[in-house]
Amino acid sequence: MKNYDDFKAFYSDELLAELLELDAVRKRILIQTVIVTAILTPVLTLLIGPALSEHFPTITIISVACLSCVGIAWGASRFLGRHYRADFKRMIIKPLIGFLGPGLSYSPEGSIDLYTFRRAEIFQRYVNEFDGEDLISGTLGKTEIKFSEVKAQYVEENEDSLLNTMLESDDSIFSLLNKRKKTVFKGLFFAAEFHKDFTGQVLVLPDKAEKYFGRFGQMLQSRNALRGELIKMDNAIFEQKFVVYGSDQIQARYVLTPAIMDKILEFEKKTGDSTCLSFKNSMLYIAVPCRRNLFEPAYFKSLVDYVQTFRYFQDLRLMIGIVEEFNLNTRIWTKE
Amino acid sequence: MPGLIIAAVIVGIFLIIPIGMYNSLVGKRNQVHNIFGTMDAMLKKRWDLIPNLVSTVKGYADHERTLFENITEARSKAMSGQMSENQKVGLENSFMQLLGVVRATVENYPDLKASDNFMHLQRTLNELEEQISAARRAFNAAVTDYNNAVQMFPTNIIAGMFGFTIKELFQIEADEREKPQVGGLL
Repeated sequence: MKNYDDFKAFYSDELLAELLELDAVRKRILIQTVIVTAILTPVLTLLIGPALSEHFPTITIISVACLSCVGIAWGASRFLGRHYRADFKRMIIKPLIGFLGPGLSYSPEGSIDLYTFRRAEIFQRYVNEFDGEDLISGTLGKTEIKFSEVKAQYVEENEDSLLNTMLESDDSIFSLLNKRKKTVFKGLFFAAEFHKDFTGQVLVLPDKAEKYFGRFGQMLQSRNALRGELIKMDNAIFEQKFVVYGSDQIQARYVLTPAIMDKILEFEKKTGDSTCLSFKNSMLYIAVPCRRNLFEPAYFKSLVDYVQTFRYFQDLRLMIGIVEEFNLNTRIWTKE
Repeated sequence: MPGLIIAAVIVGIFLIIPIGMYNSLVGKRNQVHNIFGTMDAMLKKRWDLIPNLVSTVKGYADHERTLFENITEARSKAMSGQMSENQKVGLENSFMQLLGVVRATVENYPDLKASDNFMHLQRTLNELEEQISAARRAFNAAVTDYNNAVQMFPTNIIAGMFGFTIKELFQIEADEREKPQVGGLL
């Protein structure tokens, strides 16, 4: 895996020139955005203001003007920067991926599919709205991997009876108002071939119950019939941080060797304590929650910023590095 | 009448709790037996590989006769089926040492190390060892769970009454703890 010195060299040799070029575009978009906002905000305020002034105090009109300003600025930057965003991904993120994993391909609009997400069975909540971007896939050594940013949601009809009676209409805007979205997962979702053949499932989830309720929490976990059998692991730190469910006691330990448990703990230190893993039918799935929208260009900060670019490198290295960290290319067992 | 109902409930509770504890102890003991059975099956599978291993290594290193004889003898003992659990554990430990010698010997024969047959055997052996190691860990976890129930209050009262005794854990030898490096042979 490429180290930080390699990245430094790559940054100055390959990325810097592209970043300078893109930063000039960014500045131009920023100026255009300011101009568009400066023109449209007073126009919009003048159009809406008189209508509002009859019923609302001046402070409301000022608030509307401020909101319009933010909205217009956001909309204008998105519209004017639509090529800038695509160019950034093509000129910066794609070469970075090639640098970290020569066998990998990048699709900015692609995503892990819902079938893969569901197959991992990490989340019990039914997902009926699924979206994602920045799909990275390919083969590293002997291991096929894919990961992308994912947003999985559960959409439910609003059961508020008053609202329902008020909005009893087929109009799409009303039906939109009548729906409530709950985010099941937002972050990076990773899928790869595991280096051992096995059937069944081993789920490694953050241990919230034991953390807050101790032994009573463990008792509750052992009653979770939907997840399978509770597996008590022989690594005290691991056991403290994670709860493991599996279809078979021996199989779970065949998958979660002492070495793999140490690797998961190391990985968790870098990603945070909400990371979930699922080992299922010779596949490994990892869900790393993340609130940030990853691999996106900055609009209001200079692109020629080493720390910013280094963060893209770190995020990508963390995920691509799973193959090496978990020794997924090792083939000393019967799997070819 | 209400007094009778209260009495019945109290008697019921006093009956249900010991029954629950007894059943839980039996469940834990059966879990130990179940895992031991699976582990035994895996150990047998590994013994079944031995004739193949011996014949493959023999083809390249015929003069290592003492080694082959020791391995064959260990296998015959294991397959005789007349050993107690403790004897089985002892034999397993000495067999692990023999396998270590085989691996060291193989290092002196590059042709053997590179042969398809040996590589396939090595992979299968690694797989089985990994599964056996997992089974041992599962066995130890089940035994710890069972022993805790036998020794902790209040289940220890039921355990004492019905003759549940604590079980031995599988001890992992120091040299076995370094076993994951077997892959270095390939």
